[in-house]
Amino acid sequence: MLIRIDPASSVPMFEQLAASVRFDASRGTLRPGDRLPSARELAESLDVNVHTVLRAYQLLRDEGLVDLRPGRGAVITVRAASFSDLGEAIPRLVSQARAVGVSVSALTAMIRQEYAA
Amino acid sequence: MTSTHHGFRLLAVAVLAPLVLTIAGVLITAELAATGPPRIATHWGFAGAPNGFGSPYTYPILIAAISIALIVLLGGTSVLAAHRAPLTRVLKLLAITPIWITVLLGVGLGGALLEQRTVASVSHAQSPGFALLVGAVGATIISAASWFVLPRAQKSPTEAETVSVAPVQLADGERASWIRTTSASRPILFVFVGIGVILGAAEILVVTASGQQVWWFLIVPVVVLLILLSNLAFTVRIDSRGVRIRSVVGFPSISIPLDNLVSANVTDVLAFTQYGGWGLRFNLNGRLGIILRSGEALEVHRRKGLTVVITIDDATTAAGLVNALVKRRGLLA
Repeated sequence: MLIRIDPASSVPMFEQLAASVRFDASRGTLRPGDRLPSARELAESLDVNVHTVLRAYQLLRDEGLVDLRPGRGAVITVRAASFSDLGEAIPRLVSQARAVGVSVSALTAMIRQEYAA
Repeated sequence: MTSTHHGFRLLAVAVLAPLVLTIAGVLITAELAATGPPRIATHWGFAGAPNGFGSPYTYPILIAAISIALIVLLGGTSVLAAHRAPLTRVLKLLAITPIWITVLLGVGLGGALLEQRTVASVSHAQSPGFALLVGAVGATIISAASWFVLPRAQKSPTEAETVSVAPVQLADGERASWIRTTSASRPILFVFVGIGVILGAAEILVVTASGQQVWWFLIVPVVVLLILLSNLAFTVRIDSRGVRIRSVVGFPSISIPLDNLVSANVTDVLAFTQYGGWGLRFNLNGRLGIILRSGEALEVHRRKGLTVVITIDDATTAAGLVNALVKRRGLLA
């Protein structure tokens, strides 16, 4: 599982971490039953605070993408399978937006509006 | 077809010959046991005096148990592996090992029984060091000869299968980490548990037959089992520090700092043909392998030290990150 974070970004680190996991789930790199690295190991590897990683894992748990169990760590749930359907739709959506010259911010604004509707 | 001819030679060397030798060894030691003293020395202290005694039938049983286990595990796997892949030097080495073991045990333990018939009392019996030495020399000569009975070794296809991988895109200050655990597949677990059971059974047999020194008989199998277990699952971690491959129990562990990395690529491993089996092992092309199955593997080239190969899923991403980190190091330096 490739996790990447950019400390220079305005997006909080834990959000970036969670986004990385979501991306891997949508691409099918992470499958139901896969275990995420321990929070300590990942924090050490990325040079971030353990609580940052734990916060990201808790966010993913609240979304239902991972299961947090003491002793077993963070395990990807069956919902990852439905994420991979999204993973197929998103590249299509983005390439359509590109084709008609819609920027990232415009596309995200449109998505936000769709959610609000 | 010549391949069936080769197939028969392999079967003869790896399975049939050691099987015949085992039967001969068992019959001879059983005959010696039946006609010799009813109790013999089976264990010797550090000073050389016997301190464990047991039934002479321990020896034929020991020969049968160890030889058959190794014929199945090593001889059998070399025959099966050669069905699907070229007969490499590693496979040939695997194929001649059962002969080596059966000759060593037959001569060594048979000699030990012969020696004990000549002493006045078994409590004065010498340890069978000389008989085992003769057995080892004879075993080496016979198994070396059987190497030439086997067909010529074919080249292992390691080099050809390597695929180079483009670096993943990394922004300047971006931090990236790739962590994945790779563990042994079910058939490997099955074989390891099998080895454990055989070792355990052989130990219990020896211990109950000699009736003494129970605890320190157990040191060797316990150590062997711990080594086997520590080779079942590894975590690979790639980040700005470099590559770290560590057994989930903490040892063995290989750390390759970023400065020592040259590049990484994806390769396709044939566990038996290229490495002669599973676990932490060297192949004859100068690679250190952590081999838990056949298939996709990450190959890491170091400035200093052997190239490391580890079987793992998603090796393409892993290699891409290694190459990106190396590239960024080059830009920063």
